[in-house]
Amino acid sequence: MTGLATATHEQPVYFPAAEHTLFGIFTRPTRAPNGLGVILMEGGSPSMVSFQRNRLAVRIARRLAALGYHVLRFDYHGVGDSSGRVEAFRLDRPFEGDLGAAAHWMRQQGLTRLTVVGSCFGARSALAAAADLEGLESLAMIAMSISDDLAVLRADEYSVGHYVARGLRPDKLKGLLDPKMRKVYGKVIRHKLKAVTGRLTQRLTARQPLDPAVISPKVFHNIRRAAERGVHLFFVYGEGDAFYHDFQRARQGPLGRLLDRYDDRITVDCETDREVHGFTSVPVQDHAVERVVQWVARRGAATGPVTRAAG
Amino acid sequence: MTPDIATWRDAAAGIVEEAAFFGPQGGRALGVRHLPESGTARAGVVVLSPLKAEYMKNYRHEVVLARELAKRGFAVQRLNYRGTGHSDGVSADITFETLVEDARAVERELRERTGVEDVAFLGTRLGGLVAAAVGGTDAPLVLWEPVAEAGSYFREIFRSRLMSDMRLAKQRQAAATGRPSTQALMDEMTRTGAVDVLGYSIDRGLYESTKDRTLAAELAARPRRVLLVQCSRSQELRGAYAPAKERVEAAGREFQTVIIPAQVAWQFQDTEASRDTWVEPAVAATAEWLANTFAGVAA
Repeated sequence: MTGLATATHEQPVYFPAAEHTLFGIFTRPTRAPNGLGVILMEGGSPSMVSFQRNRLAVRIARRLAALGYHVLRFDYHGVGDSSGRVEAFRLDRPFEGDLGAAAHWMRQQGLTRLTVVGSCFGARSALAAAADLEGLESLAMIAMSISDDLAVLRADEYSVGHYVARGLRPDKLKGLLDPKMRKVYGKVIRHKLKAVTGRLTQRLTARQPLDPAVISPKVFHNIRRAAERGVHLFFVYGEGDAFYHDFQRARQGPLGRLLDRYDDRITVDCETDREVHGFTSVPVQDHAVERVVQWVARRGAATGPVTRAAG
Repeated sequence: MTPDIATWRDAAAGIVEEAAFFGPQGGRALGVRHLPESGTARAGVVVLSPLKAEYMKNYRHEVVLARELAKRGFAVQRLNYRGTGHSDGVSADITFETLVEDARAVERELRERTGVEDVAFLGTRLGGLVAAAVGGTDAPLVLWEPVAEAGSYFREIFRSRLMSDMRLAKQRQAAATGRPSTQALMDEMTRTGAVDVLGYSIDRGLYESTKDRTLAAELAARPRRVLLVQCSRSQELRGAYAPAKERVEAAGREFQTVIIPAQVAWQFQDTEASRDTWVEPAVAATAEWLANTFAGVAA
């Protein structure tokens, strides 16, 4: 392997995405290019930037460049150096348009075969776009929630008794005065009722339907469509991730059958005794870099380089 | 090698942005300039960021500030210090001296590229301490929630790690092992060279080169006109800032403060932008102060 890329091999870029202009850093290979492009997508937070926590994305990009890949990391609209404004990141409103624009820019550079690596919200956005994204061959999704609503998802971690006790606390009662909070409380209550009745129904009928409280129908649909199209999917979780437990629950239903049907193109990887979501420790980051680089390299080796590589 | 400059023109706002790596091969840093579309600026502003979690937290705020200042006729230069952001280098190589070197290099870059003669510095948190250590006594200084004493700053960072450890132990319903303390983390850093705080490496080189620095001492060496932005529920200037104010005023310079009624948890990420209610007033106060400071300078 030749040396890692440095900023000498990198170039800041601006590219259009609908009414926005997105900022990114494009890394060129440090060895003979294989013609394959990789796009990195971060999680969703107002304080997230495309280099990611402790520069995780910079490390991945420069490692992949040493293997012959072209890599683009970019800021979503309203984030980092891109234009626009984002008030909140909602899992049911992924930014597939931003990825579409990034992929279009990569194709303009001659990179028509693409891999996307996304974490959390970035993974959701990538999955939403996957089936229709021209040239997409593989997609790594790190610590991705398969539910649409984090407040509702967290509701599964606590018992009904817990919510009754919390609901009687003065600060929570005060929250009832706030229409926004009333909406959140309402959602949680509806979800809990649905979960309890759902469990009863399952016990009575011994059926395992697609439970929208566990997996968003859109997520299921997008996984199926991407797999049908031949996109290779890589799910990465940590055993300590709440999202992984949801994923495992969903596997007991139709998701499990889908994973079995496409086991030649869907891989699930779980780090033992770790919380991957948010990359909140340096060892988790180090491990994530290795896993992602190895998987991308394996996919690249399996499909082979393109004959006319981009410069 | 000639650096590639990426340019974006925001016609609606009347500004232009230029992003480029600069510096020698292997030690290049990313700089982003925000310029008035007219091509001439009344003065320059160098923005110096905090580090680690605070860097991420403040990144977008600095972009918002820079765009607002460019709209008002300033040439603004932002920087990813070496070892941070998209730049070359690694965290372990960062020291207070490298931060100051990068700040000086980016000031030169701004002057050469835009031709501005007057340059102000703006620094947030640890970037405030860096900003106070660069520039002459004629360079106005804006400080957003600056670190007053570096020793306290590091203890605050280590406390965030302890809080996280306790939360994890509670989640796992396990007893926290031993009796963690900030001193134990400092000992670990001295012994191993780095401590992992919520996924950010806090390195011995930065700690050793910074721990004894204070805002008051930096400003005593370079007293100049200062605007300090503080976020707090109390309307009183924090006691930690009093020595810096005294030093500047003793040198016959103005030390203005703006206190915004908000609290900022610098070590932790927010999930919604709406919680950053302090940014808009901080940007407005800064823009107004700089406009007044350079009122006599034609763009």
